[in-house]
Amino acid sequence: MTKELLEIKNLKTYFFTDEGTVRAVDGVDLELNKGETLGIVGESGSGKSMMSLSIMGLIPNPPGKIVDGQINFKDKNLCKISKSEYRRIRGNEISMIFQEPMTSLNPVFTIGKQIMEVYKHHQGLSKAEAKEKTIEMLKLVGISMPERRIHEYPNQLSGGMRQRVMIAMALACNPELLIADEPTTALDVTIQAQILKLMDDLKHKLNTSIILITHNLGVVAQTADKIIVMYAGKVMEYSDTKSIFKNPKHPYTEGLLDSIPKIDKPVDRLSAIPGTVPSSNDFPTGCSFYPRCKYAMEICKEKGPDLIKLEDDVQVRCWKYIEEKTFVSKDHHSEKV
Amino acid sequence: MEKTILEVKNAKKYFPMKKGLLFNSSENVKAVDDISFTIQEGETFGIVGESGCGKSTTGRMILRLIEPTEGEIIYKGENILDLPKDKMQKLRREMQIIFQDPYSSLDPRFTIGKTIGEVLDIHKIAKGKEKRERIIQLLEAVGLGAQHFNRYPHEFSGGQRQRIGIARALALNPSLLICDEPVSALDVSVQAQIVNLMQDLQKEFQLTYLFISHDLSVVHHICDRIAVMYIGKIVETADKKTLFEKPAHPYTRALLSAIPVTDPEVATTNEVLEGDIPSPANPPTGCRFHTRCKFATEICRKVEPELKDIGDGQLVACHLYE
Repeated sequence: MTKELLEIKNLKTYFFTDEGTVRAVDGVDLELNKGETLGIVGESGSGKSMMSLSIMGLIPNPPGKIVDGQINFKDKNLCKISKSEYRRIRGNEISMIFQEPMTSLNPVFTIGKQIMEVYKHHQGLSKAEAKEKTIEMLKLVGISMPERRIHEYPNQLSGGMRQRVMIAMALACNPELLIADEPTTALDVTIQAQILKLMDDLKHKLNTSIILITHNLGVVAQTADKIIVMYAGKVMEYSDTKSIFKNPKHPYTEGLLDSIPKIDKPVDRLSAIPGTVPSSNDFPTGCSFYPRCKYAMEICKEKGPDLIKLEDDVQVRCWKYIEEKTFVSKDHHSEKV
Repeated sequence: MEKTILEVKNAKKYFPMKKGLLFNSSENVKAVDDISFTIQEGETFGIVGESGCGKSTTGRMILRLIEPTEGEIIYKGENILDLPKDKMQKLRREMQIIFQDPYSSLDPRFTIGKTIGEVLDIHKIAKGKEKRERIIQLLEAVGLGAQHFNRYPHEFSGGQRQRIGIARALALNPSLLICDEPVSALDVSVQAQIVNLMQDLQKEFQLTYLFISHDLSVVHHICDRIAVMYIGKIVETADKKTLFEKPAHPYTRALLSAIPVTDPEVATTNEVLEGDIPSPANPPTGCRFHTRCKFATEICRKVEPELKDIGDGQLVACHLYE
């Protein structure tokens, strides 16, 4: 295997609210190598955004807390380091692009000032040096006339431009890991295509590893090397991109793929997944997908299946496959639960 | 022969722009600028376009929720813009709308029964027991039930709320439903349920849909004919097959190639459009797409192209086809 950049082991992020404990992320394992893109796909409430906030160390505490697990980034376990150490890593070695470019930029500072701040804070550059670097970065993300743009405020830019500024800011310190949480959801399709292409170009240029979080399977099909499908805080399927689209294993993945209308393969009627996404403080017992699953069996209602390894790069959490195959995660750590 | 249910003729909507202290409103945002199309009875007509193209304004103009600046909207042979208020209200029974955001289009303080009942009250359709029965009937038609009658919107998921919005729109037995991005705010797995429901209801109640969306794959699935809008103008109209198989306008082609393909082995054509969508407050001269079009020539910068039939009922507004 190539060099691992990030390894997450049995991560559990819970929220302790008046209505009870919300298991937003419930025992997730993943690995990410250098230069690789990992897609995390899920619907609202699946825990995909909480995953990214956990890695960034931005879980609001209280009510949220990482109750168990390890986030190993290079040689450090991010769950154990001090706040000031985290601050040095965040924005420098790991950075993040958020969904809403409108709300994640500060409206009262010019974009130049906001990007320069990153350089001053993390690399201790002088004002002039930071300005030079900022202009360079804005050029890289395809913003024309950056010398003039740095004096503009976020409200003077279009949505696509703001997302470019966000990307420039995130990549300013040449991070090794970039987390993009629904980076194109708020954008129009033609602009979405631009941003995805930009991220792909930059990945090759800078050899950044990317975690791309989205609800849109089309977005990850073209960009990700591996894909995690999440549902109700758990990994349902973890597989390389080709096999997930060609031969989805988990009933949920299968249902998701079937429910998207495809232009090249028109059907008269879409096959929808019945029911709704469970609300996060009321996950079903047993397998969290069983109430909506067309293959549901007796056992699914009683006991949640473990994530098992089917082939080299394919892992799935479903009773359908469990009898024949050996357990993969059992031997490390899931006895405790 | 098909019957025309709705004809929009040279409709325009200009919003005055207030600038400076003097409120000089000589400048306008041309949200919709001279568009014409017809919808046949029983069909699903789609309008696609990106934000700011005027697709939602068009939908609202048809219901006169926004008064058009100019033009005609002819519903079953009658120009509805000439109708006085009371007649217009009667006509609204036949045209209803489903909104995009199921979270903000329902009153949080009304129970579902009251939300739908209000429609029946206003139009004096039913009272008392009859009203309750009608509401339950409607809820059942959209896959909900009598047990939901006394619940409040916050108790429902997004998909269920959209079902309620649809039930409310159906309450008056309309013929034409304007669907303004009805599935955009929903989770993927729920989207398909609502699309299926809409198709079932169309058959059951002989509905005509005007389906407004930015999602081309959904539009391809549900629509019979499609108009593509760009900054207030229709740039291409065609039936679904023609539009997706041989798109004529460069913008349509770019839109189609920008759809993310759910197959990692298909190499995308990667015809990525450069630049941003210009603001409708200050649209480019000539063809509005020329700033982003790689085929643009001198004439595109100066002369605005007209919609022209290039065969098979495919209308295109582009100088390349002259």
